[in-house]
Amino acid sequence: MNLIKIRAKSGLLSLVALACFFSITSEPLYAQYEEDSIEQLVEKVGSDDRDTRRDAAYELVARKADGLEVIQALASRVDDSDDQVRFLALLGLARAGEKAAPAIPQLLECLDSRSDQVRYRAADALGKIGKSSIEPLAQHWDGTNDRERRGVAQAVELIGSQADAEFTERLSKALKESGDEALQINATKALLAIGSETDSLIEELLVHNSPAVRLLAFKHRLDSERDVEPLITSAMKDESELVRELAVVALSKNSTLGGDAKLGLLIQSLGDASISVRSAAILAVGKIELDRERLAEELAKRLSSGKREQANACASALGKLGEHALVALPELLAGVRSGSLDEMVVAEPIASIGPTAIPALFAALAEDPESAGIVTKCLASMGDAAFATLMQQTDSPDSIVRVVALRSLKGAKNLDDDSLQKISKLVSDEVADVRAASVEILASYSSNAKLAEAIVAATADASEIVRGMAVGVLHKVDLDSDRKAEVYEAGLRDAQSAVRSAALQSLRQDPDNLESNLQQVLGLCTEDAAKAVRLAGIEALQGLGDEFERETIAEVMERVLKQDDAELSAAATQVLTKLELRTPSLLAAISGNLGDDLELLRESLAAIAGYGVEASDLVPSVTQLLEHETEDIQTAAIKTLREIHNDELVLAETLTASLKNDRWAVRTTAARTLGDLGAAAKCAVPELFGWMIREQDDNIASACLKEIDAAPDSSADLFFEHINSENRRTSYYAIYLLGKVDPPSNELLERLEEFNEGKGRRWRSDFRGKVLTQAIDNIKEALEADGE
Amino acid sequence: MALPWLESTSTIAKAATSATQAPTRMAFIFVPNGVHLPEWTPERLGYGYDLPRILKPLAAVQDDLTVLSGLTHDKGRANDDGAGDHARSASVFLTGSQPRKTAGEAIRVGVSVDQVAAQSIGQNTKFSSLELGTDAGRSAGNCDSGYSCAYSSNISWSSPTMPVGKEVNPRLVFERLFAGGTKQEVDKGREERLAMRQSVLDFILSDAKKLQRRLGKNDNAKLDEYLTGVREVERRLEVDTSSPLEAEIDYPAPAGIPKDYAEHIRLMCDMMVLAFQTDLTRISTMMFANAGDNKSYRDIGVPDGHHNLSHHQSDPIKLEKITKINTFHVEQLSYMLRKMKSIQEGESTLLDNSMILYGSGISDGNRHNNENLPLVLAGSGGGTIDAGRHIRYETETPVCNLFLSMLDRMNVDAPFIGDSTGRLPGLTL
Repeated sequence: MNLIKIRAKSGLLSLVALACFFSITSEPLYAQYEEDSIEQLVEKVGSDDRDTRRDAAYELVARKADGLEVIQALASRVDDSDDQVRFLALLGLARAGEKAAPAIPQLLECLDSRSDQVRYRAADALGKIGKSSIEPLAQHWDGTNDRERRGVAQAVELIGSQADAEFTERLSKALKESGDEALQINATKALLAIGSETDSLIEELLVHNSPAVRLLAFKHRLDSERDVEPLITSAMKDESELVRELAVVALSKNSTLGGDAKLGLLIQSLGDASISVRSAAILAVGKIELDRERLAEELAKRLSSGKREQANACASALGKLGEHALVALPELLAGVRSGSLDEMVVAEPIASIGPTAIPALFAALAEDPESAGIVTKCLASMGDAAFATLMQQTDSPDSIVRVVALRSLKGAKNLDDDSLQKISKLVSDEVADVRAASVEILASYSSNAKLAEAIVAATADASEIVRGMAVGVLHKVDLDSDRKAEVYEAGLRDAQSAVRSAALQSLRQDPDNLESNLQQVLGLCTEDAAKAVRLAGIEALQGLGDEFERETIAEVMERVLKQDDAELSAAATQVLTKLELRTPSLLAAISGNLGDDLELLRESLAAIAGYGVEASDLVPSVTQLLEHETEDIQTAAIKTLREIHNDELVLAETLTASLKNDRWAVRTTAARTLGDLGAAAKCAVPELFGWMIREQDDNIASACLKEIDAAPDSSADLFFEHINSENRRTSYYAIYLLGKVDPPSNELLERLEEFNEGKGRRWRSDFRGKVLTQAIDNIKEALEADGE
Repeated sequence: MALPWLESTSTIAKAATSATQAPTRMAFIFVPNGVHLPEWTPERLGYGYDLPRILKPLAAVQDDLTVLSGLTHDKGRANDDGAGDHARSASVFLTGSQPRKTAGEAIRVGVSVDQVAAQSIGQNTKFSSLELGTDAGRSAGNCDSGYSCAYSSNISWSSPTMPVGKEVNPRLVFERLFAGGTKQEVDKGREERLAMRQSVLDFILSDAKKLQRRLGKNDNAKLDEYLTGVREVERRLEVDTSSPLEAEIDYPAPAGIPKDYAEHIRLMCDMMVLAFQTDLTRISTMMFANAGDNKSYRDIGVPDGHHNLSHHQSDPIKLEKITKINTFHVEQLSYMLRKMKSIQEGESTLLDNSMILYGSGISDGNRHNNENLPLVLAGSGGGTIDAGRHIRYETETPVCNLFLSMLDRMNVDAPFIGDSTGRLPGLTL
């Protein structure tokens, strides 16, 4: 009950849930051992019953029992047949530390285990035993291979300095002579943990072939060396980027290096060939103890010289210096204009300067209107901090300043009423771009009636850009439905095709008004002079809700399908599929589109699938597409055949041929479809069973075989061939499918029974033995049913 | 009264650390069913790795992340217990212990890392820890091949036999955090406030005004920012719980939770951030969904169940959908981390002073394997982690070694936890 007290004291949220839970799980939860003494647990850990052993081992570990009898009991279980008991034994020994010394022989044997986890845990326990395990470990080292020596070295690392006499020479030799990098790494760690390394050894490690070894040595030296400048300088030339990266981090943390040295090395690393090192250097700029003003000046100098990677890295690094980066603003903008810096990289450092940079940005804009794009991006990246200043700039007499200020405010989510009123007045600005930018902002605040009116007014603007923008955001505007329908109607009648398209795109997201203006939209789908408008009209129909005039739309779409324009036909077919509009004449029109245009072909197959067996006349045409040159058409054809085929046995034969397709996506789609057919697809079983030996396909094969759950009698010999496969999964499926052979025979039963008798008890008790028993029972049952 | 950590009042906050240093916080976020590893694991090690598709939403906080590859939860493996990987994946996630296979009462696993910390340093804050989630789940019965539902629904265990139930209703968390008092007092206070149409913030404000006179300029600005944040969260809670569309959501939803799953997660994240920001607790856990969850994600174009999809059998279509779900979850994490990064604490940020471990107890949903788990650690633990890197550890290195290293940074002295063998090297260069 202590727990409840703790939770109640802290007033935790979960008290109620906890109390509910507590009432379900009445104490004590695992009482069976609560009263057992250590002696009883020791006895139980040797029980024949797995669960008894598990619980006893758990309890011994939980009680931190480490008496001799416990150690001996746990040592005897490190090779237990049960993984959990074995693990608990190893864990208990590791946590017993030096008291686990009597278990050293058993632990050493575990270093040869096939299980990575057992080797790892055994080495851990040996290391934690400490001094007593040194000699046995040394003997073991001498008599074994590199793989087991890895574990020995892991243990020695934990033992540390006490292992000096026995291991320094052995480990050093392994470092020079072994080709096993994992051993080299563990040996290095062990040597450094022993702590008796000489300068010459460290020098050797610093130039070792393995980058990981060099990294360990460098790190070790950093911790102990007073004069790190030569060390860092040397590490920055290392061929391993991991070592160079660590050198940069060391540089940023070091407080003994002089400013000039630090600056030089930092600038050098910003020009490193590796992006990892450059990234580490960029991060270091934000942390390093250096005069930030000077650092910014030095970085600014490198923006226009040197390699592009270095220039971009210096720009990114300026982003870590906040307002100090102001000094580099002209170079940053110039770099974008000249193309020597990436626009994406530059926005961040300029935005990080904050509002202080705004006057300079507008000054740059006045000087070069071409920089409007990057200036807008930088201002928009500054977020809320820049909004007040940007609002002031909307008063500028210079129209480009007003445009940039408004576009930068586009992402603003919390503009106050005064600002919005001001922007709504700009909807009647003399410059079209200003009016369009204003409308775009107001669209986000369209639930405000006054602002909605400003947008409506803009739909009648003299500029098609403004009209297009205003009509395009109408779906967001909160307006009386009749009024909105009128505005849309005007937009759909607009003389400019861009405005008509914008109105249609907005209607696609506005189902109620789409229905109100449906006749006009349908007219545009077939009659508009501009193809872009016709396409936008057809696509808008996808936005229709549940209620619409099905026949009218079907007629219009059929007319589109007959216009012989692949792009429009594909869009129309997509609408028909989405709205589930299906008629015989539409099917005839769609079936005429199984030609060369891929998009149209894809949409047509999807539409045909929707007709189900009503489209079975198209089976030959669709079957031909199984040989199509593109993968996605082949897979689409398989899916369509599944829907329209009226003979599952014939379909199964067709798709079985597709199992041999070289393309993974095609053959697995065929396999899954066959699985979906169930027993009707048993003709595919031999081919699918053949997939069991291919790693790429075995999971799919096994799933499909289970779904088909039947096998032709002609495949029995194939299964018997693999019944003893080394791959236990293949063997399992061979047995499983023998139990599913249809029709079964007495001969098959006899062969299986004979096979069963030839196997030992252990085999029979594993999962293959169980499925064999089940297979024999299945066949007997089927034969009896036949007899009856 | 709950207030942000302020320089001027750090003594009030009773920080375990020195008066001028913000406390370190620690949270663990669980996602079910593993991930699509090829789209999760960065190709390059060290700094400057390219964010793979699933981790792309974290671009704004990449410098604050440590992607950890190669770590193993051996006790999530069957180890002769057969099926039930999902239940194991949740129960092992923070305990590193093998759950006893039972669907009955005799459940047993281990104490979770958050509770080890809560039992050691929880007394320094009003709440010793905060357990959050989005699906209540069942506490008993068989949820996964003979494993109790308690294993699938909980990652936080205060004793080997006692899961700590999580809260899934953001409103209740909010009330408890900011209204204070016992559940009965909170309920009563809430009724009174609703009757008076007052917000929790109005109650907080009266205290805040008294404090404002004592604060410096920086702290006053910070307090304003914080109060605005609380008001915003409260407003969202009002909107969401008054929605008539709750019945339409396609997963079991207790009354009061948002209809939108993403918004639900984000509100719970907000609760965690507010609780950290105000130093109401320094330890938290959250389950974005329970183990083996089969929720569909229609809003992102994935109508299939998550668990069903995770058995993808290398089907590219399923893999694409799983990637979308994985990315969706990471987007929610990104939301939380960006929020934490925006909260200044002296010269650092709340994210700098935290360690948020996000991941799954399964690597690949199809294989159900427990090595090379998808884990990402956000934050630099008060400057004790050199973040911004992708680190790969030797296979079989226990996740529990990471837990020990995290506990060190919380000033919690634990000799071992679960199946730990020692501390995890390499977090600091």
